[in-house]
Amino acid sequence: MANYSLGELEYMARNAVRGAGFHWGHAFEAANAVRWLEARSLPGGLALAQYLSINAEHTASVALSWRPGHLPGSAANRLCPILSASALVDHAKCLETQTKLGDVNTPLLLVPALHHIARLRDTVAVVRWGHDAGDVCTFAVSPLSHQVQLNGNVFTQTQGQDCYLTLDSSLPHHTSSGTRVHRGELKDWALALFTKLATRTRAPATKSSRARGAGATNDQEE
Amino acid sequence: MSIEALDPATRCELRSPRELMRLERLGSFHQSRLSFMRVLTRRLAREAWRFTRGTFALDAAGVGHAVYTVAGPKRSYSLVAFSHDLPDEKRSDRVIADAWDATFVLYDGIPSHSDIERLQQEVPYQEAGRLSGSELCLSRANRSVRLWEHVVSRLAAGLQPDTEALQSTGYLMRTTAVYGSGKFGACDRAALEQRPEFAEPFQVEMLSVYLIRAFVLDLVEHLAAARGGASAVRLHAESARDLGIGNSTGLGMAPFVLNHPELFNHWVHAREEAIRRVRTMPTATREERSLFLDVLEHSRSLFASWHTDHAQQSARIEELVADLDAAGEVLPELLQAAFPWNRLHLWTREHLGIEAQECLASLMLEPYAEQVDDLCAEMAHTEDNRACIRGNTTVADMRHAIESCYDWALRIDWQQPAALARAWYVSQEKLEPRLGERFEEPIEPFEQPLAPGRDAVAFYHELSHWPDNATLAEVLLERAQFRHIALRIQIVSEWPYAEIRDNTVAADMQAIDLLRCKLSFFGATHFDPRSDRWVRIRLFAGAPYPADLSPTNADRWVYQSSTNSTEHG
Repeated sequence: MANYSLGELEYMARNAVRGAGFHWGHAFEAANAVRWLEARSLPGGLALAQYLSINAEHTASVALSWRPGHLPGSAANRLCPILSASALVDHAKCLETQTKLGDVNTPLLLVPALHHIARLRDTVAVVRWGHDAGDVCTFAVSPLSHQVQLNGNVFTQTQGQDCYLTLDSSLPHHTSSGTRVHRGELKDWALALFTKLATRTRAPATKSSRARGAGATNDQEE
Repeated sequence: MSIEALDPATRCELRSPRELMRLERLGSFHQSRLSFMRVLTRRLAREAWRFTRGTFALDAAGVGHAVYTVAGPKRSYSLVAFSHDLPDEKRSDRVIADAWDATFVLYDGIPSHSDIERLQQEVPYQEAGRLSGSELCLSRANRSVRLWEHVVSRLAAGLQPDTEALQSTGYLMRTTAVYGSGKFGACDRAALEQRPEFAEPFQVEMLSVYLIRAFVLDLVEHLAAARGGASAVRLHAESARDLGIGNSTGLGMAPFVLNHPELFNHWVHAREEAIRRVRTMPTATREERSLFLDVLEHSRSLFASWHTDHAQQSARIEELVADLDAAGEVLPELLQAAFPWNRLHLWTREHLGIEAQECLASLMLEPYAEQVDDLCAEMAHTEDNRACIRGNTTVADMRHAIESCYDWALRIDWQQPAALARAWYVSQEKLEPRLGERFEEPIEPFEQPLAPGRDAVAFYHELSHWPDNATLAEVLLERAQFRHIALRIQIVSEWPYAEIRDNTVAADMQAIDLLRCKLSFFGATHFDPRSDRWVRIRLFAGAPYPADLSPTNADRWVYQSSTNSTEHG
């Protein structure tokens, strides 16, 4: 498993998401989410790779049907975390204090959206997923804190588990900037996937592009 | 307009982005006292950073490694230089090169022997190597074929190099890439943001280049000594000081100012605010006038010495020199009057070309360190400040924002092929940004989102199908292809200098304007475009070397030259 700077992870994630067929705006936002998670020692790169590996080609229709209060929520129609996170932030001002999001794929990718939602609503934003009787993962983000409060174990993959978003101003607002990390790891299979998807964003060279060049030429006069 | 007609009471407001953020004007920017190289040398001198040359393990052919350490109030940094014996046929400035005369890394602290051994296995291979979080900046440089051997042979023979040859080329080595910000595994920019010495932009990269320049001088003298033995001499200090580090910059750098709108806003805003502050000065003292006229004279001499084979740039330099001469005629009267800098500013807009306007705008900051230098601290943008879309904005407000910030784009006929002739893409072969011909090459499916004017207009037309009171959130749920431009419009509405107000995919777009603009903020001089898509420049030309750096010479060294040896504080 190799070690990368946050900038590298962000760049790889952006091109992978774009290569998977998402629009540029979602690619930028998903890459920001990966960076945000990795800076808090959370496996954002892995979560994105898991998601893209299983669902990259089938996201758009699921996401388009998403509305606050009008959730598809069926196991066969699992929500895209990239598009859902974007939609949640877009609708931050009109979110209910508690929203049942439904069955979100790799919900860890939703957590960075809490940062924006908490700031826009000036409240603590909490997202929870898991089985009531089993593992439950809860993240809380305060508007002025760069840190995330975690209860339970981090697990990135879910299936058939509803995800809930809560806005709770009664929870204590944390203001600590906390410890940040500036590197993250990526498993070899995830790197290979990102690389493969990113290739789709790059143009093969043509004779004319080679001739035109992008920069310095050999210049023995200098 | 006559000088008497100028109204000194004219309100000194920030210049409008409509006037300022045009490619031609941005491509006419010049270095100023806010330039990142000068910010660096001022800090190094002010805080009395200590420089030491540690290891210098090079053989008679110049092969080996050297370590240069700079120690500040809290931390030390080391340039680790690997010098190679590169056959002439392998010397190339192109991004596809795989060998260089010298390769470098800036290390966070003082490297151990095992660090050096590790770096020796990685740094010479540049993009093919792998760095760790202890490394801050990766770079490489090639010798000037024209000058290097001349200087070595002359020094070895106990003679000084030909002055004209030194001035004509202006550098002994030129960097062909300087990678910072976490590239190839190096330390992420966010990890350094809290360090005061790296708070301003590009300080890591500037420190690397400053130390590279010191290494290059040592290397050329080392080779001369190895060849000439006891008869070899060192390069005269004045000649050495005039030499900068050359740099070849191509399209890889061009999208930076488009990809970092908030950061770019902060750069331009700091410069504009500095200009505004100086324009509000009610009078100029004799010392301030004298200093300004002095740096103007030196600048004119420098520009007259700039040589380029690029016809357009050559004409611009000629016009610039002529304009500065014209300004010299009226300056004595202008600067004696009330609100002299505002008068000068208004006069230049009426009488001079854009290049001279921007040059004089930069120069008039020189006497006013106390009034403007604090603005350097506002030129950074932290990684934590990522903007998000404000989805509750109404369609009516979004339309208004586009009409306000992208009015220039709404006036373009996007049906004309010339308006869309170019496309920015990333080449699979080079993994670098490139600019292609949309209608001649199969590149459109790979287009990067670097045409904000076109995209804003497309979004504007989309919004015409939505009711005024619909929210942006509603629109973007159905039309996600506009997310990137929706966010950008909101950013530009907040930061007026964040957007280049020109068509970046037009047939007649000059990519070197993007390069020149960014390089001017670095503090580069001697702009020498080699085509419409790459430019050669000099960095740190005229700067004191680390051993000579002091508060008295750390700032206005850019106006130094051996042909004009007046000392500047």
